[in-house]
Amino acid sequence: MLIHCTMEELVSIRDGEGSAAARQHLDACDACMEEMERLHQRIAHLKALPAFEAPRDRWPEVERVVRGDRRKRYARLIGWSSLAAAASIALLVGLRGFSVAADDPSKEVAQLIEESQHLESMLRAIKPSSRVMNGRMASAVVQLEDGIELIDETLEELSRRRRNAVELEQLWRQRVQLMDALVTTHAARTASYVGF
Amino acid sequence: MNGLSVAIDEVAIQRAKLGDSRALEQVYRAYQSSVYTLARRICRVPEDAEEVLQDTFVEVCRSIGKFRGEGPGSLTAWIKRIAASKALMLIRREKYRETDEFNEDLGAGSTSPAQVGLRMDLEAALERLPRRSRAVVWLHDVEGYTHEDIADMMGKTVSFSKSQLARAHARLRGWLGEGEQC
Repeated sequence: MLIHCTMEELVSIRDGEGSAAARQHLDACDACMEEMERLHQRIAHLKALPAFEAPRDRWPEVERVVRGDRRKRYARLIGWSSLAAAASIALLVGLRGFSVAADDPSKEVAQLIEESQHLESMLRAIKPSSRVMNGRMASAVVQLEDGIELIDETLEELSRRRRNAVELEQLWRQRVQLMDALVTTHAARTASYVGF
Repeated sequence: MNGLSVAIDEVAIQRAKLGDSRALEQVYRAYQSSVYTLARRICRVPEDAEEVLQDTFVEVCRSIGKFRGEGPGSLTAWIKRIAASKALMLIRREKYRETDEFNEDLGAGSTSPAQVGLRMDLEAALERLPRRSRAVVWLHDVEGYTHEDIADMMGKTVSFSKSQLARAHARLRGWLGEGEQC
C-alpha cells in the first residue's frame, strides 16, 4: 500500500530533516512532489505579502519614555557619583595627609560635582516644567538637556571602567557649563514670576 | 519587503549606542516598518501591533548600549528578536485566547471555503489561523527562525513548534482550495 507523506513530513523535509523513508517516498511519488511544490509556493507567497505601515508615528512617545528613564538614572548617578567622589577624596586626603596639590584633578572633580549639584538644586527651585515656553526657547532647552544627557551617559560608562581623572574633570566641567546655561535659560523665562 | 531595512550606517549605530537622540530616531525610522509588519502579522490587531512597535523601540533605546553586535545585519537580528518576543508576550493575553477559540472553531469545521463559495486569499487565511500557529508560520517561514528559536521564545518545546507549523500549513492549504491532499 502506498502511504503518502504527511504535511509534517513535508515540512520537515523542507527544513532539511525528515526520515529517510519519507524522503525516499517523496523522490518516487509525483503526488507528494506536487504537494511539496505547493508548500514551496505557499511560503514564497507568504514572503511576498506586503509590508504594513504603522498608522501613527510612535517615536515621540518612545522618546518621552526614554527621556523619563534617563532623568531617573541621572538622579541616581548624581547621588552615587557624589558619594564615590567624596569617598575617594577622603581616602586620598587620608593617605596623603594635607599634601594634596592645589591642582589635583580629584579635588577639581569634587568641586565640579558640588557645583553641578548646586545648579541642580537651583533648577529644581525654578521648577522648569511648571511654565510654558516658546518654540525657540524649547529648542534651546532640548539641546542643552541632550548635551547633559550625553555627558551623563559617558560618565556612567566611565564609572564602569577604570576612571581617568582628567577625563572625568573635563566631563564634569562641561556638565557644569551646560547646567549653568540651562539654569540661566529657565531663570530668564521665569524672571517675572520669581522677581529677578 | 518583510526583511528589515538596513538604511542605517555603522556611525549612526555607534552614536545610538552612546545614547544620541538623533541616531536613536534614525534607528527607529529605519526599522519601524519591519517591526510593525512583524507585529501585525503575529498580533493581527493594529492597536496591539502599535503597542509592540512602541515597546520594542523603548527596549531598543534602553538596551542598545549593551548591544555587542557589529553592523546593520546583527542590529537587524537583535531588533527583530526583541519585536518577536514582545509580540509573543502580547498574544499570551486573555483576549487572544478568547479570539483563538473562535478561530479554532472556524478552522475545525467540516465546511470548506469552496463549499460555501468563498475562496480565501492568503492574507485572509493567515489571519484566520489560531494565534500561535500564525506566529510560528510567520517566524519560521518568513522571518527565518528555527524551531529551536521559536520554542525558546514561546516557552514551548521544539515539537510543539513543528506540529503547529504542519497543522497551520494543512489548514492554509485547505482554505486556499489547493486541491485534495495526497
